[in-house]
Amino acid sequence: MTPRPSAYVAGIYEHPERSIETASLATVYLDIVAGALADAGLTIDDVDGFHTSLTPGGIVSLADTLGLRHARHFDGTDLGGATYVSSIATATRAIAAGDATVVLVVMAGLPRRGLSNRAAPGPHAVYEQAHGSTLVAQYALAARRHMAEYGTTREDLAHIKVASSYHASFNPHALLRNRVTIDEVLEQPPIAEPLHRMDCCVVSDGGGAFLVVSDEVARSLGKPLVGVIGHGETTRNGNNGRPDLLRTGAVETGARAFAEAGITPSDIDYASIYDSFTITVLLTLEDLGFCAKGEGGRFVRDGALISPHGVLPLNTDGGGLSNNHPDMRGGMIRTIEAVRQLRGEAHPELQVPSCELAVVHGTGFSLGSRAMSATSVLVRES
Amino acid sequence: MSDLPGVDLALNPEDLPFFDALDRGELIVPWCTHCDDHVWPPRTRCGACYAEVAEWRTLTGAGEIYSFSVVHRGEGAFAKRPPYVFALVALDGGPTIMANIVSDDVASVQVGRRVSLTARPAPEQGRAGAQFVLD
Repeated sequence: MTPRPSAYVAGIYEHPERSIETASLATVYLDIVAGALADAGLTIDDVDGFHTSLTPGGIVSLADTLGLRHARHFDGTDLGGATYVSSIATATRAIAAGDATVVLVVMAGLPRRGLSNRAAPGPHAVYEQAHGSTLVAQYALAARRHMAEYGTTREDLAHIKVASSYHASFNPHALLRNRVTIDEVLEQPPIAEPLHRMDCCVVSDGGGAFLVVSDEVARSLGKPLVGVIGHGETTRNGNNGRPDLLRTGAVETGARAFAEAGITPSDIDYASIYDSFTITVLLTLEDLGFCAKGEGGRFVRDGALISPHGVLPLNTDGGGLSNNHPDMRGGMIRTIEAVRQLRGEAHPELQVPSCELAVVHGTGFSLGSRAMSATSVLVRES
Repeated sequence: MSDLPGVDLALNPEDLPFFDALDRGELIVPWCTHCDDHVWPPRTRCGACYAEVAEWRTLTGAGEIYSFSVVHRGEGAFAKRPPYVFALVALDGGPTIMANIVSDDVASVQVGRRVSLTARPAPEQGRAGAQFVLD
């Protein structure tokens, strides 16, 4: 028996473009918010809570650009790719506390034009830069260690990309719509071994938004109800020079989110897991408890992640690996696709039948050094 | 593989002893005498007990490879260079640190292999990191 939701995810919008050549970032934000409000049937004057992350001029500047007049709850936290999954919970708590009734959560970026919202390097960076560390290389450390410990192979990781490309082939907006084979994934040039080109997510412009709304507002919108029923978040770091690259924060965030929701991983109908790299998905699946530690390589084989017939339909929009990865942050688009699945609005070929329970997981920063994890459980209320 | 670049690093005072020692062929780490444990990466207080760090200890420079990557797409000073080995090395009696493995035989670089710090001259430009060779 799942608990009664304290809040609901309502209006959703994913910017349809993946490469935006001339429009300003302000225009992209405005188009996204217009789309999310239209999807919910609300106006900007209904918005009384506002979440974003790093943005030029900060959250105050963006609130001005968007014409927010009635907001009384704000959150501009930067948790990297976990940010917007975290926002689901923060907004839900604000609504439960009576601080807001309609919280707008928005993100946008134009990384293909070099306009990406990133924090300045921290004090650890010199120990990384001195040795030629890159983001891909750090995730490669996690992948290599998993291979050495558990016998995971590049072919195992390739199954994650193959499922992603199959799903993206149904998405007219996806950046990469061609279906690829295991062999094609394996033949790609190396970026940072053992990760090759197709193990890495795409770089795309655009962004998205969703609204978290109160029970009363949700029931007034005439849309399928998607409730928030579980959450967890934590960080993993270098642990004073004793890193464990085999276990992510999802071990804790998944356990907490599923316990709060009163369910187990086997109850989940659909999973949206941030796929910054193929290894990110493999580690997250293990740590959320969909399979035992070390079994991820075997779990993802044989179409396990392909909707609707796989054991665990995953990232049915094509994910960051094939569809969209705006501002190099995955939590927003992962959340939006989970809401589509729960509403029954995913592509008909990929819609999970009777999709009632979904998990969304965001990973921020780097699983090779220090990372943020956020997990949310969403339920369709009939 | 041995020609790794110097890098312009924004070093803080607490970073200097480690990088200066590498230029002498030594590996030193800050030590919390209260916890009797290393403090990594270097900070002026121990992250466990918050005592001020008053001591640096010299390690042997020996350790084993915890994980590694042969990087083909470097960035900054490492851009447009031949592939290089970026690694995490678990030091004997100390922390696991980011490092480079310098080897002409990349296929022999494996998780669990024993490695040792190698002496190298200070770079002509910028600062250089910890470079290890296979035992």
